Amino acid sequence: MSGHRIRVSLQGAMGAALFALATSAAACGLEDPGSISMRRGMLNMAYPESLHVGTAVWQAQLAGRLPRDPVLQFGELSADARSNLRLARAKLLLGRFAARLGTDAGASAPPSVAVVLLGPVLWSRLELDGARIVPALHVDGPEGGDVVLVTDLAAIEAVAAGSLGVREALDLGVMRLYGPPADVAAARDWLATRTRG
Amino acid sequence: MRSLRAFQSVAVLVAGLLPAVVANPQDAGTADKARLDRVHPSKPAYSPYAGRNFPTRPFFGDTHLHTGFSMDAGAFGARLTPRDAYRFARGEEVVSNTGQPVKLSRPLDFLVVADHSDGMGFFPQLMGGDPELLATPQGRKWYDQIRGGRGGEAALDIIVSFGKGEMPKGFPLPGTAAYRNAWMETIKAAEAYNDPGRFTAFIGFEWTSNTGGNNLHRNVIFRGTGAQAALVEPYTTLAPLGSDNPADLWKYMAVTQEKTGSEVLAIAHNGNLSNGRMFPMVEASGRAIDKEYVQTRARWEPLYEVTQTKGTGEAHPFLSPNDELAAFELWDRANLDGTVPKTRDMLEFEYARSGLKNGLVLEARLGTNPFKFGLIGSSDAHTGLAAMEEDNFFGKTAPQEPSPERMTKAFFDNPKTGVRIMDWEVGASGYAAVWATDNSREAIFDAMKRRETYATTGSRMIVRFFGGWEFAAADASDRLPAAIGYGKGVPMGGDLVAAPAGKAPTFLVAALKDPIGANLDRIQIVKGWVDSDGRAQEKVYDVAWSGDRKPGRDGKLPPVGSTVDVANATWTNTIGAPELIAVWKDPQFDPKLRAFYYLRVLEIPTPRWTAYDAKRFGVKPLPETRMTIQERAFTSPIWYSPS
Repeated sequence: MSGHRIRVSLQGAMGAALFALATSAAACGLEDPGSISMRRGMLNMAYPESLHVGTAVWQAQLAGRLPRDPVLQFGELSADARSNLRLARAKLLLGRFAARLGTDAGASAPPSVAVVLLGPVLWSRLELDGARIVPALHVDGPEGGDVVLVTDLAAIEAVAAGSLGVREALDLGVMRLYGPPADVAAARDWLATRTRG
Repeated sequence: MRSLRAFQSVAVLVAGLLPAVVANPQDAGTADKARLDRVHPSKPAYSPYAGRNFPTRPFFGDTHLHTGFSMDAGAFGARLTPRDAYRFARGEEVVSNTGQPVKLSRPLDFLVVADHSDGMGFFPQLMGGDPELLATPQGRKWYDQIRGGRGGEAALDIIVSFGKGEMPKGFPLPGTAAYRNAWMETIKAAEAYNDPGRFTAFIGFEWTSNTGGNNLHRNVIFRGTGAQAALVEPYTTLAPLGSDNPADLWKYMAVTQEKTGSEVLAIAHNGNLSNGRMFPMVEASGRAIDKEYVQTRARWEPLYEVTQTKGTGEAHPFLSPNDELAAFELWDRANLDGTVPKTRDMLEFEYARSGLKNGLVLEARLGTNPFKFGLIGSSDAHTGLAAMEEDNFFGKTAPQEPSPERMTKAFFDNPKTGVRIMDWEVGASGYAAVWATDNSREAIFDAMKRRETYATTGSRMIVRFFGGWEFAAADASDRLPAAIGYGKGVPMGGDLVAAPAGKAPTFLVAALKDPIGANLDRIQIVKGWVDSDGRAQEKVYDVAWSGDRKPGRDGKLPPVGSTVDVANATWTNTIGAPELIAVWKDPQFDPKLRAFYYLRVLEIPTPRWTAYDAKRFGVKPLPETRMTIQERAFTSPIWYSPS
């Protein structure tokens, strides 16, 4: 496709974000902040009401149930610097989250779960590395048969720290699971038993 | 100039602007005996309000709101429907696209759901698993991509395919069942919520010409019924079914009016992202604007959207260096998609004031003023939520609904051109105010056609503006100025023609604060004219202001000050005035020269939506973030012609 063709065809108020998306090979919105809104929007199409997770997260943050985003406290940081910081934190906390899920995966086969952080629309998958569960970061999206866990970094941080269980997170709305009902139930139980609550 | 302090309740002040005698607002021109006989019946009733048949209150609404039926809104996650949009506008509490309860401080009086005509209803159709669409490889691929987390790729592929005209069978193009379904649901939603006398739900759509990324969009509104609107389908932009040329839209409108029996009008989108194409002196094809263009545009486009979420386009500091208040909520870096950075030579052809000035030039040359437009504001929100109050702003798209991060996120960022707009630059603006005789499609539409309208940036201040030859200072002391205004002159949107010998135009101006909003700073009259050398000129006059401020040696009125506590997102009405009223006479009038006059009314500074966000979310703004705002209104002009 040519850039000209894109310019001709972009309709509506959101052409710029689409154009940014078209010219970016970035895997997530942190590497391409201009595309975040579009990425989230399409997430809301694929996983109805997944944008509600973001609202539930900030409401839980204001209520003191979840940690606040420390990056937002640095008013002097540029948008790029914020993105870089968030990406580093996402990698760190997703690793801790996976570690929290335990190393005894062999005792019960782990479900197939893809995690998407709503803020940057960053996809990862929970995978087995020997007996350890590790996050495969920056994947394109879920694979066939995956249960999709929509959440945000604050919830991942709380679960990783042991201050919040997945069941509680689901009740709070700061995590949502999508997939066939039986698979969702299995994933929910599996995640819940490995985290507080 | 005179200023009145608060000495009565707001309710009484509102009543004070209500006219007391019978007049017809469409009777533009100088008062004569026949007119006065009509205005002042021979047997006057005791009640000053009996028998009046002219507009007594402005109706506030939004002429430009998108829902999940718009392709881009859907791509950005909007799931609210036209029905949700009408419910919200008429005052109901709804759940937003991000799961937040939301309600307006006060209902709006009218709403136009103006979804993009191209691809109308596509995403609800696709994600609803439409069998015809999913039976095609493309449709199936998009569906699977979105479901598989690669929605960004799908969105891009959809838009590119659309541009190539390579849409799968079942895609909602005019004439298809899918398109018909979306249009009929749009109509049915408006019919279901249209409640004459209480709430007006207009039927409309947005025609979205965007060639080269240059925004030439128009919102098309039907005066008539759903049955009439159902006789046609919206006009789109891609050939062969549609066109990106405004002249073709106007042809469609003529045919539509003939076919349906419903009048239609088009409101040009804020032109600040058109890169110099909204008010052309030369058409995009290179052809000079001709008589056909000016006459056709003047016929179909009585209004212009001067403010909305993507900036305010009244004036620009480069074009108006002597107007210290011109730099207001500007978006002046590029075209709509950020692909072509803005250059200064473009500005003249995309801001309202310069457009009005060039309209006079074209009128002198071609006999018709193509840019004789009234002013309105509207939201262009893509959320289904016409929520444009600073303390209740629900953003432009679903991902920009309230959250701690929206102040620090990029709205768009084009790395190739370096054009970046941050979310904090999106404005909580605006609304359209219409002086209609009642709250119905017919009355509001008719008021729009006669341009008896004004734009606000979200406030609901009440503004009156009359022009005539006989207004006197004492008229500003009357508690029923509208009666005098209609009796002795023409309202905003009207014409003054052929000045009587020795006379200069006089104007009766009045404004009341928004009952739950901020006090007023000042009323200004903006005059534009074409001088004897054929050059367009402009001047801004302060004509009424609060307090005892005195203009400085430079003629400039000192700022009103500020009571804004940014950290707490509060302010007080301890400065400013709840109402301003004055009579002003043009001190530099030349009866041989064409001119226009419009009002700009400013509130005192108040917290911008960013200040409310910072307070409510405990977030530090980026250093350059604007945290206060002076909300304002812009009225339709009154034009003067020598003959």
